[in-house]
Amino acid sequence: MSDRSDDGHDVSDHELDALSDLLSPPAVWADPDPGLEDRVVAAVAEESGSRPGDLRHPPAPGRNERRHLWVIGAAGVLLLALALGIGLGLRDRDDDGPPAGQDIVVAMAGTELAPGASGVAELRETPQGLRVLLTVTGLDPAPPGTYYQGWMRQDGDGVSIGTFHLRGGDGTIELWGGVPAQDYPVMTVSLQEEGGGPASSGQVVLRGELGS
Amino acid sequence: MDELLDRFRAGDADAVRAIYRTYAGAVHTVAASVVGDGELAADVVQQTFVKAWRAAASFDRNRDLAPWLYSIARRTAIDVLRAESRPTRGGHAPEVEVAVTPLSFERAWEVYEVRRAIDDLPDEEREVIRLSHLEGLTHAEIAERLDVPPGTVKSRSFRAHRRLAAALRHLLPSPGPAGAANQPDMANVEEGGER
Repeated sequence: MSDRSDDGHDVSDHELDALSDLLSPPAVWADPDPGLEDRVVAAVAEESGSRPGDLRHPPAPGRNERRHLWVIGAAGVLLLALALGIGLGLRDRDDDGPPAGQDIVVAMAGTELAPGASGVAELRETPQGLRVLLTVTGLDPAPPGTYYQGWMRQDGDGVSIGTFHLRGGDGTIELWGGVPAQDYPVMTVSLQEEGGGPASSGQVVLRGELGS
Repeated sequence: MDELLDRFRAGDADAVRAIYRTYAGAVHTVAASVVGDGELAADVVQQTFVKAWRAAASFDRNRDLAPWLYSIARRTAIDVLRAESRPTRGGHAPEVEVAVTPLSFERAWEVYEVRRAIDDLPDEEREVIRLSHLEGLTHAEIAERLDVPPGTVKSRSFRAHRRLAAALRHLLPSPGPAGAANQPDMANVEEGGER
């Protein structure tokens, strides 16, 4: 402990002891992730000016420049897909599904486990289930013995929407879910170990939220 | 403050950042105390500020923002903790195993106030206090770490402890013979302060 006997005449020893008790828990000193401020600002901005289905753009942690580039890139992907009605695997959509304008587009941001990763997920309710087209960039191929798994989540409840490994490089992955997107507004991608069981490993590398 | 609140309500990015920078440390402390440090705590912090923004229109300007944000943070943290702890509907295990017990209302408010007092310290005093109380260094060791004279460390420590004692007086032992701690001042805190 510090040689705090010199710590001030008007603070009694009892008070110093009490202060020490108050100041010593690590939680009192824990700081939020530097990128969280951008996430909060983005979340408020999105909610204040968006409606369900709008592009969400949480930034990569702590990198404003990367965030701006990523947002521009993600917006470009969305505009291109909507304007041309093609791209990202949309051209073979079911005719009896909702129109393209009702697709939900979710921006996926890399977590601290994959800060350079990002992605765009396009969700469509179909008669067969929820189809998710996930375009990923900057995410390393899953190391041997591991794989990636997509999840739709609400609160603590997670439903798997499929697995992939990216060993052929970046690209668009088609995943399917059996739950309604509006009930599972958070989408995550976790890194799983082969033989590790069906539950999520908790090692989330990408995360995004649907519009409220 | 009123003008900042108006801009916060409007979703002005600079105002959101200003409010966040003032209170994020304390909100995170409550979150980490309830759900543990990590991604869950980050989720709690984000949800807290978004909920505060949603509810800002109903916030009473005559109240202090700090206890209001605290109430939102604590309730959000407990909600997240409960959600993560309960079995999942699909039979999957929760993504994060949580084995912590929610702090009492008084204890959570206490850590929130302590963090607010820490954040109000000048940077150089805050660092001395952090090294002393968190890392357990002596003044001599702090002087060596910060490359400043030991006398500078002592004066910073003195000033910092005086400020902290003044800010947290209600949490410290009363000067009376019983030495009992005063009751936390929670006059402006309500359970479920978010409306």
